[in-house]
Amino acid sequence: MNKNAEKIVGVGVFLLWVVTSAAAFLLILPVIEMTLRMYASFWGDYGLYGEAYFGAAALRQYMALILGMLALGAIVGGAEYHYRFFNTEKSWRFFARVIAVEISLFLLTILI
Amino acid sequence: MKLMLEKLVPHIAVGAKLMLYIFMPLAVLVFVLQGLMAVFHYYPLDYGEAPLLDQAMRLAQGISIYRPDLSTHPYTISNYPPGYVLALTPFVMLFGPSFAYARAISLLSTLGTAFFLYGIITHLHKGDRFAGVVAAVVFLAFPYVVEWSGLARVDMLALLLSSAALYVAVRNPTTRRGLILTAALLVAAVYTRQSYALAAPFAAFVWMWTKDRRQALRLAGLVIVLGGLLFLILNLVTGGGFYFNIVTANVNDFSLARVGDYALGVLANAPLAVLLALALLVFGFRKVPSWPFIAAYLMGATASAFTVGKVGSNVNYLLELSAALSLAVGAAVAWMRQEPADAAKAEDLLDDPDYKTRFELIHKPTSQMLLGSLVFILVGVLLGNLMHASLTSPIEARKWRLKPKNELGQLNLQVEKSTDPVLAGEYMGLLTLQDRPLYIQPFEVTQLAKAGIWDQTPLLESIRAQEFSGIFIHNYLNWTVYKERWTPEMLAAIHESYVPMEAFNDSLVFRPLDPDASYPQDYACTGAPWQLPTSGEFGMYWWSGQLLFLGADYDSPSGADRIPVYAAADGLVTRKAEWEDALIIQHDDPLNPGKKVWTVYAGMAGYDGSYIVDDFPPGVESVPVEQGQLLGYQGRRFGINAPIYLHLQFAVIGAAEDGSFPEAMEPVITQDGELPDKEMKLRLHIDGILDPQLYLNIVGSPEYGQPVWIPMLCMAEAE
Repeated sequence: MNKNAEKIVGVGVFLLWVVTSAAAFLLILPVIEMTLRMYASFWGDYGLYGEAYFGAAALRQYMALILGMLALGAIVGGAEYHYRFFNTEKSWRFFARVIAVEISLFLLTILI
Repeated sequence: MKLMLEKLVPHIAVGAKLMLYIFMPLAVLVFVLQGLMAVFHYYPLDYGEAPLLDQAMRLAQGISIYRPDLSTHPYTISNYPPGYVLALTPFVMLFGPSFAYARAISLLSTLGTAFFLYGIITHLHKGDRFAGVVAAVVFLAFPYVVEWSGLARVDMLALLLSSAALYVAVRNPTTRRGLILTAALLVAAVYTRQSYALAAPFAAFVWMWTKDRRQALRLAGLVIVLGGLLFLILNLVTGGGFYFNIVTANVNDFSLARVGDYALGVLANAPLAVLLALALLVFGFRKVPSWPFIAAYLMGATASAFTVGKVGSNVNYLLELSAALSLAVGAAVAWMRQEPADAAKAEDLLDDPDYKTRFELIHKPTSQMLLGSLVFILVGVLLGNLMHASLTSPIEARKWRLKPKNELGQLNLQVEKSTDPVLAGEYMGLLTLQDRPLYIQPFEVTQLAKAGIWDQTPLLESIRAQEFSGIFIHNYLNWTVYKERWTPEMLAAIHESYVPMEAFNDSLVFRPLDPDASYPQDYACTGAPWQLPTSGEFGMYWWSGQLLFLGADYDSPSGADRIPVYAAADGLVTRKAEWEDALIIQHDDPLNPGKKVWTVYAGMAGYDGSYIVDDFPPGVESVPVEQGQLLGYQGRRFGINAPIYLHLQFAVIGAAEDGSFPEAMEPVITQDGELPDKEMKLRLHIDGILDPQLYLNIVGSPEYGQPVWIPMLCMAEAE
C-alpha cells in the first residue's frame, strides 16, 4: 500500500476507533436502565422507599462502576490492539466484533 | 462493490452470530430467575394447582380420583389423565403436600423439552448445534413458556413427553425400538394431558411416512391400540369415572372472540417467529430437510391452539405452538447457515493472507450469507421481543402474586381457623397445603351446573344451612372472576347466609351470619339519619373517612354489572362539566340543624363511559333530589383510569361557611392534588371529611392514611 493510501486508512481507523469508543461510553446509561427495568419487573414495588428501592440503587452503583471499567478497558485495549495490528484482518475483525456487540446492546436497550 | 461486499459480509455474519451469543444467555437467565422464584414460593400461584395436589393426596391414600358421579361431595373433578398426578404422588407420600416439588417437575420438564427441541434440530440438520441451541432458547424465551413453566400444572410434563417422542421418532424413524418408544411416549403424553393427542402424533406419523410408510401406519396403530387399551382399563377400574371426568365433565363454553384475542397476542408477542415459520413453510419446501416434520407439527399445534377459546383456558393451550414455532426458527437458522465444518475452517483461516482460499471453502454465495445474517438479526430481535413480553406481562403479574406474603400468611391463618368443611376458590391451595381435602372445585362444577350436568341443589342447601365455617371468594381488582367460579345461585345463597368479615390479598373471607350482629336492611341501618347510598356485598374500604362500597351484581354476566347508587338523603345535586364519574349533593345537616353538608358520589364510570343517569348530565347545578332516588351505578373509575374493584366512592364533606362545596376538597372527587391539612382547614374555616358513621350508623375504622377493608355492619348494635 502506498503512503497516501496508508494515511487515509489510518485516519479511517482512528475515526472508527473514536466512534466505537464514544458508543461504548454512551451505552453505559441505557444498559444500566435496561437492567433496572428488568430488576423492576422481578422485584419493583410502589413507593420511593419500598423494599426494592435500595436494591435498585445499589445495583445502579455497581453497574456504573463495572461498565465504566469495561468500557475504559475496551477503549484503551482496543487502541493498543488496532495500533499493533493496524490494517490487518485481525484489526478489522476486532472492529466488526466490537460494532456487533455495541449494536446488540443498543438493540437490547430498545427492545427490553 | 462486489469485492467490498465479499470482504464485509463474513464480518457481518460473525457479528450477527455474536449478537445471538449476547441475547440468548439473557433470555435463559430471565427464564431461570422466574422459575426459581416460582418454585420457592410457598403459597398457590394459580387456581389449577390445588386440584392436582389434592388428587395426588387422594391417590397417596388409595382413594380413586375419578369418581363416576358428583351427587355427593367432594364436588371435585379430575379433568386430566393421571400422568402428572402419578408423578406427584410419591413426593406427597414422602414430603407431604407442597407446591415446590410440583413446580420443580414443571420447570425441569421445560428444560427437558428445550433439550429435545435442540436434539431434533441438531439431528435433522446434520449436527448443526448452534441452530439447535437457537431453537431451545427461543422456546425458553416464549412468554407462555416463562409463565407456565413455574406452575404446578400438567402441561410441561406432557410437552416433555411429546417432545421426547418426536426426538425418538426423528432419530429412529425406521427401527422397531424407535417405533415402540415413540408410541409409548406419545401415549404417555396424551395420558398426561389429552390435548397432546394431535400435534405430536401427527408430526411423528408424517415424518415416519416420509421414511417408511408401513412404519408410519404401525405407529398409528400402536398408539391407537395402546391408548385405547389404557382408556378401557382406566374406565373399568374407576367404574366409568375416568370417562365422566375426562370427557363428560370437561364442558366449557367456547368463544371465537377468545381465540381471536389470543391469536392477536401471539402475533404481537412473536411476529418474527410467525414470519420465519411462514417463510420456512413457503420457501423451504423440498429445500429444508426438516420441512415435512416441522410443517406437520406447526399445523397440528395451530389446530390444537384453537381450543384456547374454551372459557377458563389460559396460555397453556399455546405451549405446543410455542414449541413448533421454536423448531421452525431453529430450522430457518440451520437452513441459512454455512456447513458447520466449513464455517469452522473459515474462522480458522481468517488470518490467511490468501483471501481466495478462505472463500472457496464457503459453499453459499455472498447473497445467501447476507440473508443468513439477516435471519440471525431477526432471531435476535425476536428474542428481544419475547423477553420484553415476558418481563412486562407474566413476570410482572407473577411479582404481584409473590409479594404480599404478609397478607397471604393472614389468609392462611383464616383458613387454619376455619374447621372443615370450607369452600374456597382461588386460594383453595391453602387447604391442600394444610393437608386438608378439597370440598369443591367451584369453577369446574359451575361449568357443569351451567351445562345442566350437575345438580347444585344439595350444595345450595348446605350453604343456606351454614354448614361451612368459612367461604373464601376471590375478587380481582379488574376482573369479576367470581362469576366464572361460582353460579349466581351459589353467590345468592352465600349472600343470604354469609357475610364477608375479612379481606386479605383480594380474597374475601365469608363467615356465617351472626344472629347477634346487625346488618343493613333495605339500604339502611336502624336509627341512622340517612340511608346507605348503595350495596356492599363484598364489604367496604375505609379510607381516612371516605367509604368505598364494594358491590357485586351476581345475576348479570361479567362486565355488565349494574349495582344502583341512590341519594343518601334529600338534597340538591351539582355535577361539574368535567366530572364524568361523580356528582355531589348538598343536604341539610341532620346532626347540626341550620348547617349544610355535602355528600360525594364518585367512581360511577367505567372504560365505556359514565354510569350516572341522564337526569344529572354534566354541568347541572342545584337539581332537587329525593332520598333513595337513583343517581347512577357503581363503576370502575378511580382517578385517572386506575384499575379498581367495582365500587362507589362515598364521602361526607362539611360545607364552607356560605354553604357551598369547599374547593379545597375537590381532590376527593378528582384524585388530583392534595387534600388540605389541619392548619389549612382552620385557615379556610372548613371541616373537611366528616365521619360517615354518624350519618349512616355504619362501622368505621380508627385507621387513617391508607385504605382498610371493613365489613358492612351497622354500628349501633355492633357496639
